[in-house]
Amino acid sequence: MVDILRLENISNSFDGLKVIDNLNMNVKAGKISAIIGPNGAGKTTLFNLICGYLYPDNGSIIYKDKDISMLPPWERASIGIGRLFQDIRVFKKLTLLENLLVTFNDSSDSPLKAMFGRRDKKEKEKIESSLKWLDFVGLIDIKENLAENLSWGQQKLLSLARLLCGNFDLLLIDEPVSGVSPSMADSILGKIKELRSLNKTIIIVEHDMDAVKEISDYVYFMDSGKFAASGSPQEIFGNQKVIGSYLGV
Amino acid sequence: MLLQFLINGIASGALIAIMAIGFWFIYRATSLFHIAHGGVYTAAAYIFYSLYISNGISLSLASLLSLTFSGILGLIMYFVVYSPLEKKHASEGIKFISSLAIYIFIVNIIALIYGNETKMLSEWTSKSISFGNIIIIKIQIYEFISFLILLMASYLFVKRTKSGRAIRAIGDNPLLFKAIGLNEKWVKGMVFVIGSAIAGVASILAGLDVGIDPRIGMSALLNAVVAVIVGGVKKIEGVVLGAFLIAIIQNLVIWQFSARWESAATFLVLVIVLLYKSGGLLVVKRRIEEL
Amino acid sequence: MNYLIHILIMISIYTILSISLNLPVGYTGLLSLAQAAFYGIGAYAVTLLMMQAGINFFLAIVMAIIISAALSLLVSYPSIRLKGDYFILASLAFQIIIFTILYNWMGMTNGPYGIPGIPRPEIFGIVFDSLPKFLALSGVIAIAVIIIAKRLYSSSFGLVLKAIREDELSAISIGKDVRKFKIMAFAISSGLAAIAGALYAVYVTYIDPTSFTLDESIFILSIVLIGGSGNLKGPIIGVLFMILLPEGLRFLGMPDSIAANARQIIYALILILLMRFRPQGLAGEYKLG
Repeated sequence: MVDILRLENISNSFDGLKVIDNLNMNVKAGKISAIIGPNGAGKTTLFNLICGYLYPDNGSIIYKDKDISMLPPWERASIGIGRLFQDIRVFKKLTLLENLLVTFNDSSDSPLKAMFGRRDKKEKEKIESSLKWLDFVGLIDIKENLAENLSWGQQKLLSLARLLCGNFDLLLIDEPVSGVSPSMADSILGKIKELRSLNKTIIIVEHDMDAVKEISDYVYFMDSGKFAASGSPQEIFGNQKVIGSYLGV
Repeated sequence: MLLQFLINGIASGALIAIMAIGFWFIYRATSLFHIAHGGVYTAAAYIFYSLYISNGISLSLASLLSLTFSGILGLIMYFVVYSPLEKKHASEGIKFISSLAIYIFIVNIIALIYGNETKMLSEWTSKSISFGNIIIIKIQIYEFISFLILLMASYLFVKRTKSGRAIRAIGDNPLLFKAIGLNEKWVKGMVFVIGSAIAGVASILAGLDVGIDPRIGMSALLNAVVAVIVGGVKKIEGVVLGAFLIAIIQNLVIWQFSARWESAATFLVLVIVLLYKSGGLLVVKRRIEEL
Repeated sequence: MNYLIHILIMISIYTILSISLNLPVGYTGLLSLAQAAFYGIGAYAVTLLMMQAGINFFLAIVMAIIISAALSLLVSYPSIRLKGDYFILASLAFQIIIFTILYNWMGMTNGPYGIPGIPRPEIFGIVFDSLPKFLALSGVIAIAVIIIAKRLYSSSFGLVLKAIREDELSAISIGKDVRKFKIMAFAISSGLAAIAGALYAVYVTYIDPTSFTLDESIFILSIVLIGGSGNLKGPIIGVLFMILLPEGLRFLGMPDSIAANARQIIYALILILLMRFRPQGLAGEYKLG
């Protein structure tokens, strides 16, 4: 399996308007891809289709050689498709540690076990794993803080830690560095680059071209629901069509 | 017997429809699940009782005063309880519970003042016309006529007047609402007055028909709610259709089974319709509402 | 003294009820008006199992829990996807449907006449037939329920529920089958309510459907909303408040004839004020919606 994700002839309309227009995409495992394009191009809609919050009108979505087009969003997440939303959405009233502990999808969630079972070493392992990832993103010192007390950038790091703790293989990250300071952006981008060695496949949507240039292996330029161009960063950023209609100047 | 069943169905349908139209006005413009509407219903009936029976005031004057009273009561509910909650962007749950609490408050004050027993309002119940073995009670004719008048008036109001268009636009189409130019608070206050007065119409008619007790509001309200959900929230025609459908089903159950199963049947219909509207039991394609 | 014991027994029964409703309301954000129905199902199940099948109370209670939880699936499975007001309505509809069945299924429940002569619980030769003995029983069971609830809230399951109430979409995005969790919470809640029903049945030794009406559901919901939901102490404070308030009124000399209505008026006013100014209730953690 070289392509972890394949989108075949995906179309999606909303209120009669075609938002995604016969789109095809092959995402190679272990690489970082970026989707760029003007507002309204359909980038977030595409993410929603992959995650299952929207269903395609036509076409198929194939993940790890399995057709997941009709799978509900929670199930797609449980087989490894992770999402970092534009508005982040950490669990505000839970602590950082709890935000990570809750990502484990196994039988320890059973209520019967909760009511009558005994504490086992599974719990300990979960805590250790969570702490490891909090450390990875540099947030371990404040693990007992409530997530709502974090800065925007710290929340992004927490979300990243959540995705890692939850053992997702395909990470869809919506605007990883928007709204953060340059130093925090470097931090976040650095962490994302480290993920390559963990064999994670990452697709990001970004408007920050420097960030895109820095970390992506492959870039898709999206406009009006289609990929108008795709290729390596050098190819895309040297592409006249792209520069003209989007990058300005 | 079939004809009798139809007559009963039409009469009770008319009452449910009147109550449902009142509820609909309020829900359409404010999206509020105004459970306390049942409290307004009860209050109107008891005020009418005080005026008409206890004080011997004429039927028409007593009715007029009662309708005015219920309109004002509804308005007070809006400004004292709902409007502050809207300002705070309170959740649906909070508004629902507040409404339920208002209902409990009003109904218990009424019970405290008037007592819990059923009170009869008139001897209208015995005034009837018979055709063979079909009995039509006079009040049933009045119920139907009132319903027709109210339906026509409401329909014209909603379709032809500026306020009517505002009521429809306020939730669906904020731009259109702005263009119409009426003040939001004014429109919402207005629907509370109109809707509450209409509830008064329903309760006076029902009271003259079968008498009153502090519990009448809840059943009238629930019937109206089921009618609105079954018939469709958007259009007044749907609400009326829903009301008669419910009335027919209720009377059918009473006729063919027993009156004891009437409410269960009504709510079973509600459950079925709710499930159907939410996508049924097999959901193939869905949309997430907001992200 | 006997009266005091009676109050304590009612407090223990209602503590179980309010903790049971705390799970849907305070942990999953589901306002349910059907709790009295499951309270009733528990009472009738235990009664029939004891009287028709000769089953010991303590075994009957376990069976009643399972029956109640299983029946809750009939309610929750279709309704759980409904949003906000519509879910509340659906729960109200089921409450009325279940009540009507209890009221009219003469062959099973004896309808409005009720079932008298319910035997007292007994085990290992001990019969719980005196007030102090019964208080010991209900007290121990209530404490057991509190302990079970505490374990539930602090478990992984409880954490998932908290996450769902915090941000359902986010919970979905980390792989949680939110529907399944809500249905489980609802089932546990119904099972716990059945325990209260069982205790009630063998305490009063006579049950009829009028103890399990919509009004009763509203009362239980009021306890949870006034006391507060989403944590352990809210529901308990709610019970103390709602049960002791009428006693206080009586103490102040309010005649019984107006006491019932006066109580409701006070509860209603308090609810309106709380919803406006303090939606987490007196001692709760979760603010509705």
